[in-house]
Amino acid sequence: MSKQNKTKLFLDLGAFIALLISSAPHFTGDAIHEWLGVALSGAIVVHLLLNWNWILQVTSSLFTKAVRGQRLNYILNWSLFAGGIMIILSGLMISKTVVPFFGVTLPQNMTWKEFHEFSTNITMILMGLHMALHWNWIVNMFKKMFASHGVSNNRPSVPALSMQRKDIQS
Amino acid sequence: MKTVFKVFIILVVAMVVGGFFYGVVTASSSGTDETRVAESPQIDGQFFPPDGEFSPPIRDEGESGIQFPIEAIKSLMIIAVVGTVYFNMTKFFNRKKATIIPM
Repeated sequence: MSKQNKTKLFLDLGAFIALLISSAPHFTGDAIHEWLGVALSGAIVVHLLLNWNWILQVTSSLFTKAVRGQRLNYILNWSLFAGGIMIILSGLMISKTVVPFFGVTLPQNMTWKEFHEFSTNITMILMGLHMALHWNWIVNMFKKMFASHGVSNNRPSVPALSMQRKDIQS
Repeated sequence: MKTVFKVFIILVVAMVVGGFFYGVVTASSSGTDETRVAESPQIDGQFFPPDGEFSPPIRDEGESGIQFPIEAIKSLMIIAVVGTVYFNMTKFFNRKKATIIPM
């Protein structure tokens, strides 16, 4: 398992858990909900940077037959990106902690609150599709990770066993 | 430097998409239900809506303590259901495609 894949897996896992926690503002309180949302926008940028080569490849050959199977994935990813921006933008517009922290006062508009809830629901549906499209990759990465852990756990057992035998002999 | 450029591109695209949504929302709401808090009448440090306007009592959600994370479970359920349905549907159709014997 390559280092980049490991980084991707742990970043995505962390971002997913953060997204779930952030989606429960009554549980976390407004401050954690908002700051976690800001942190998640950073995680989105890192996620895009880690998958930059794929984005470039598919964008440059979007209308060729070579990427026919990737088109749905590409459109879905764009929708997910737009959904994330919708959540962040509407969240900032109704912010009670983050925006006032920077000394900015925004006009109160209830449309943004409705938009925030709507975009969250849409993004969760898109997230489900995104995860389903990458499910095989996720499962393979976990299998590889646990397999490599199994090998690394077995390796030191040989000298340990030999040491044990020496102890028995002595 | 390359990474900074990539981040710059991501932020520019995000700003374009965000600007589009901002335009759509502000145009659809057309400022009718927009109230500047700073312009509202203030008594004892509390904001009140202008005369003739009703505003529901503001609930401070932070005061009621930690609640059960039902929204997180709802989100997880949406992701799980949509993901499972899509995954099994594609699996089913791929299997159907594979069983078609070529002439």
